[in-house]
Amino acid sequence: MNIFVLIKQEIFTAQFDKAVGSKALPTCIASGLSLYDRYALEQAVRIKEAKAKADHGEVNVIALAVCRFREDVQTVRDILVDALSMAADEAFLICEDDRAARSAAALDGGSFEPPDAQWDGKMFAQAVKKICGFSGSGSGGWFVLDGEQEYDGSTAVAGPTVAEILGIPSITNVMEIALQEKSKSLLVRREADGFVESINTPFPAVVTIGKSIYEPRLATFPRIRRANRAEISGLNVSNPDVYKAGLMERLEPKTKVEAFFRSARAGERILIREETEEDSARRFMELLREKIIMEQFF
Amino acid sequence: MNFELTKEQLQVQEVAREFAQEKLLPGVIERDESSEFPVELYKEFGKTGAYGLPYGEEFGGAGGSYMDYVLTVEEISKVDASFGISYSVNTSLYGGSIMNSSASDELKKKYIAPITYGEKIGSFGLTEHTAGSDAAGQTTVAVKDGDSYVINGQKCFNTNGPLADFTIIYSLTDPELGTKGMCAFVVDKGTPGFTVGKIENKMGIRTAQVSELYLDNVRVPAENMIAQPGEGFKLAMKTLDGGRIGVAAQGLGIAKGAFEIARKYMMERQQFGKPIAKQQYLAFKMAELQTKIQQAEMMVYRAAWMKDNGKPYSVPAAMAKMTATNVAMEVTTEAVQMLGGNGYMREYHVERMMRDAKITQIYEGTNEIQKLVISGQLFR
Repeated sequence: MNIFVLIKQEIFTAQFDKAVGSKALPTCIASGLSLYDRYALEQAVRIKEAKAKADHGEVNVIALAVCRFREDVQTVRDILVDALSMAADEAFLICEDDRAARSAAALDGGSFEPPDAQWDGKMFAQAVKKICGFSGSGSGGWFVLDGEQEYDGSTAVAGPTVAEILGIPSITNVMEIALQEKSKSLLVRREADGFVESINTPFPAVVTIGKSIYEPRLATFPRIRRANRAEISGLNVSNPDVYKAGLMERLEPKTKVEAFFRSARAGERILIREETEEDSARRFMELLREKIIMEQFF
Repeated sequence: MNFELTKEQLQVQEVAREFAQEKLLPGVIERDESSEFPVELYKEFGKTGAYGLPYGEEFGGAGGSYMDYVLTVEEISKVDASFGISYSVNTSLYGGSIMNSSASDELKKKYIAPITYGEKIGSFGLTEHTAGSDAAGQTTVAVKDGDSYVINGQKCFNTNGPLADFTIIYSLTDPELGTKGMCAFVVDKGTPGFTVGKIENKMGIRTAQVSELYLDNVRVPAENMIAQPGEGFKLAMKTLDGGRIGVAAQGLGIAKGAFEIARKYMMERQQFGKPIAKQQYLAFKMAELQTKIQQAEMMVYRAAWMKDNGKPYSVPAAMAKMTATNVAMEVTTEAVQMLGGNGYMREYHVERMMRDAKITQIYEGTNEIQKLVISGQLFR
């Protein structure tokens, strides 16, 4: 059985200021696994460990590198090394290179735009299809986990997009998953608005982890050592024949970022320091009422 | 020549940093007050393979390098130097004694594998009341009796002593021969006659458990002898060379931890209408301290690099230990001063770091002994 965990790229927030007013999200990505990815990976490895007989090679991570610079490819590769160090058995790097994309676009007579969330989903869907040979029918001994958001501009739609393209169930906002080996299904607990649902789904399926009830484990030192020597399956990033080889269908993003702003900062900072703690608490409540933050509670 | 850490080293550093910041930092002040060793945290960090980090996987270690080990001790000690020394003694003194010895591969595996993942704890018994800096002044004696040895004596200042499942005991086979008759054994907890004496009440590193150990007719199988008579002193000295790099890393970590607290405090603390970081006298003092920390860092990393690359590291280790621990003492003392009255209070951490720093100038060879090692090389 294979579990695929889709690994994201977090935007390096220190770059935000540079991008403000521009038409694109910053291209510089943060190193290291994002928290949501760690949740998803922790879930994946717990499912593997809970099985009566755990096999090596069951937890696969797939990352998508949309790269402006060679260094970004390296960063994504490093993120996969982090995933291998933590828990993954196999890593796949799907690379998109501006130059490759541009030359492919030129061949088609089209133009190249930076990717959007739908584009990400399509890329991932194709990667999963390619790796597990999914032809669209049959149950297949696999399913996909992904962390809720971030790499897709915090739209949280890549997981559901993958499911839509592959024609398999999608469950979002999931907290916990249990594998039911006999019935080849997953028992999933998801948090909805004010209640928790327990859902049974056959696999293959795409399960998007909202928040985990498990703390992601630390990488171990032997795993770190092996991960840094592991082969990461992927495409040659500088090879413009990515499309020609038929490995990827030519994809065009449908949406385009018009402008990028920093969200409004919190207002003034107020330091409350009254004579007594009671007075300070009273002042705090007054301010909350004044600012109408607490209106609904009074 | 490359002054950058590799991806792998950065990852190693990050694991230790995350554990230190998220697990060790909460409760570190309370633990210092109660002097309780955090057994559960010890086991939790063990899951990473930390305690056997620099030893080969064929011996049950984690297969990393000494540099990896140094980076982890440093990160841990930035937050909790007590945990740092328990770790360091376990890995470089207990583990080092076994791995540097002529013990069989089976014995190495038997006694390294259980400590690597934190299932067991090791300690190192060399120091005695009459044998501190002069480690040759041993009085513990091991007498051969059939296929075992019977050991009698007493050890002191034994870090991890009360907790240890395995302890390296250095002893003499013949007091007349002195160090020429020194040997070493690995002794299991619970061996009849092997007991824990007084547990020390210390100025700093308060959660590290340090005690006397009594050996009263302790019978140990001959196969547990890891250094033959005449080899023990060399093994102890070689092991301490490696241990000193660990203590140097501990000192470096303490210095960096205290420095960072002072730096942040200075940017927030307002006096005379501006942050105290804007007082040039204080800012210049911090510039000097930062420079000293960098000097120490280079020496510590270089000593580890030399050990990893099979070069003689005794003198670089002594220099690194002396430098980094002196810097730890200076930086923590100045950090307390930078924080003023707050620095003297427990909740700001730096007074604890100052107490912890002092011992690093003393144990695993006082800094005066380090000068003996360095000068001995100069004039031989």
